[in-house]
Amino acid sequence: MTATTMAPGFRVLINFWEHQFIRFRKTFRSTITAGLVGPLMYLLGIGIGLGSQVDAGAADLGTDSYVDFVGPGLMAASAMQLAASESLWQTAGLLRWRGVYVSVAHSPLAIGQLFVGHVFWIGFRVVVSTTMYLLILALFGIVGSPLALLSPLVAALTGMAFAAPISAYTGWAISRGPGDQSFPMILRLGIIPLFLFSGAFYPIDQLPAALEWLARVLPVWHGVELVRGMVLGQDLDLGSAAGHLAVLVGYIAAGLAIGRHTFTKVLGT
Amino acid sequence: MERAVHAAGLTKRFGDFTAVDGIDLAVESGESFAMLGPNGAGKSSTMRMISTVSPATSGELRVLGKVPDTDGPAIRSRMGVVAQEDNLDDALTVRENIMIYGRYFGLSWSDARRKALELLDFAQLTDRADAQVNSLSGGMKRRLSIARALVNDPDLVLLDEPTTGLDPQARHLLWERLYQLKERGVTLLLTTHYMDEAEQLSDRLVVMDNARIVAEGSPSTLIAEHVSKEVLEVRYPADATVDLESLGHRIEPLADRTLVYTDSGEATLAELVNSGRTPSSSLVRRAGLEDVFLALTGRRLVE
Repeated sequence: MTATTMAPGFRVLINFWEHQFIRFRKTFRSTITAGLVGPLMYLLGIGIGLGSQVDAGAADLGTDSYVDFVGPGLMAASAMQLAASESLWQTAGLLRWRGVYVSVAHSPLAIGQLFVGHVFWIGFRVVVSTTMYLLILALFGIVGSPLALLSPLVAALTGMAFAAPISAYTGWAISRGPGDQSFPMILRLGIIPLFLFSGAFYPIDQLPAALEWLARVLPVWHGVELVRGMVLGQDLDLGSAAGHLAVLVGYIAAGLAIGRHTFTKVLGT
Repeated sequence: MERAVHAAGLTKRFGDFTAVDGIDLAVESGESFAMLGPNGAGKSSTMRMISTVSPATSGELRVLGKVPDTDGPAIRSRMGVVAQEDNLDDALTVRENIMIYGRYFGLSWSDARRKALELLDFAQLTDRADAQVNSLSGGMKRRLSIARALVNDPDLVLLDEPTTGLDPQARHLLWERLYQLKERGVTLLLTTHYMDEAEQLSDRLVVMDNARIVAEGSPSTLIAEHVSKEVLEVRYPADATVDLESLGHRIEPLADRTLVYTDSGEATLAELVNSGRTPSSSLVRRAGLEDVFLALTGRRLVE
């Protein structure tokens, strides 16, 4: 399809992604390096190192070894971490300190579209980074199903389930003016605990009841379960898979609905 | 031809604060129009409404014949906006800033490339085409943001405080470029708190103060209507008490000097000297928009 036959509204969204891609390309080499080294460290340090102690205890993980359990779980949890960091400082920079989105708002792209484009772009970033994660998992012999090829897409949904509401929050925080100090707190008291309680390191039924309940309500555990099932080729039943997907999509939809308003508060008042 | 901007009773409120209080504006196609006023007068809020990103609280607004609330993308596709902050993309080179922005307006890659070359030449940035944005001086960055705003060959260009923060040399270069645009028939709408800028660049202007328009006209008619032809500025030692009341058409005492509005500054000065009221220093100059603002509001434009 050429630019002239596309609806202008969709055409500018493509231009937005093109813009983001060209910015992203400038840091491609370091992205690739970090994207491969990070998972390697986690798998060696936690999967193999810590795993050597866990396997000896014959924990009830439902996998052959601890590294099989933790590898795909970390892949999904890393999607959350990347999405969260992109949605906090990076997004604040684009909205205010660098003003890139301020200029974009003066193009024919509408602010609501910009927010949708923004969240899906972070989804794409997650696909790139989790594909590298998957490569490392394959290197460790952890991949057990062709379905694994689709797991970066599910990881992207997991990332977007955080990117949409957190970016929406960032828009609100920025709209209240400078001096917002909440970002480090969100990371330390929100994302890092969620990383630990995501079900990536151990099944969430090991958690105290209140934390287990919290893990079920928030999106990351749903992503962890789906990605682990797809990578390992476990017999995921369709009902629970659909349930996990519905939670992820629900968070994305809610974040998109709110974010268009908070971005408008920053860019359009 | 349609009017570039038409506003009637245009109002913008933020909570209890009224930033723009029911202003009427008519910017004709092809003219260069300025909004002159001090910081906080409501100029930028008006610009943001015209740029379609900020909805009006009430009143009527048409930009390039269309309504911003419903036709925002169509209006923006024919408009160029130069905001107060340059908002350049520091991840991109100078050339890429123009090209990639052009893509948003439907330019093909080859058209975007050609347009970037043309605009880099216009902005005198050709030799910096592949430089990183952060290596540019303030004046260069401002010229690049103007070049970028021209990538869609806009019918209307909005410039919010285009030369604020620039040194005199950079300002003059920018004025010269803007004058070229005006010569090409591009409608310019700019805000400024520099009266010399408004005098240099605008065919017509409005003077804004406290969210309202207090005067409207060409620079010369505004000066003719509100102040005399010449101004005599006189200074006396701090302890001197000199009666200047009956001089000229009007006098304006300032902190450090007194302005006397008169048809002939030299004649009024001679009158002072002849009556034994010789000032310690004096200056005769043409009256300008600064004097118009002072006459209308009792305050100076730039404190």
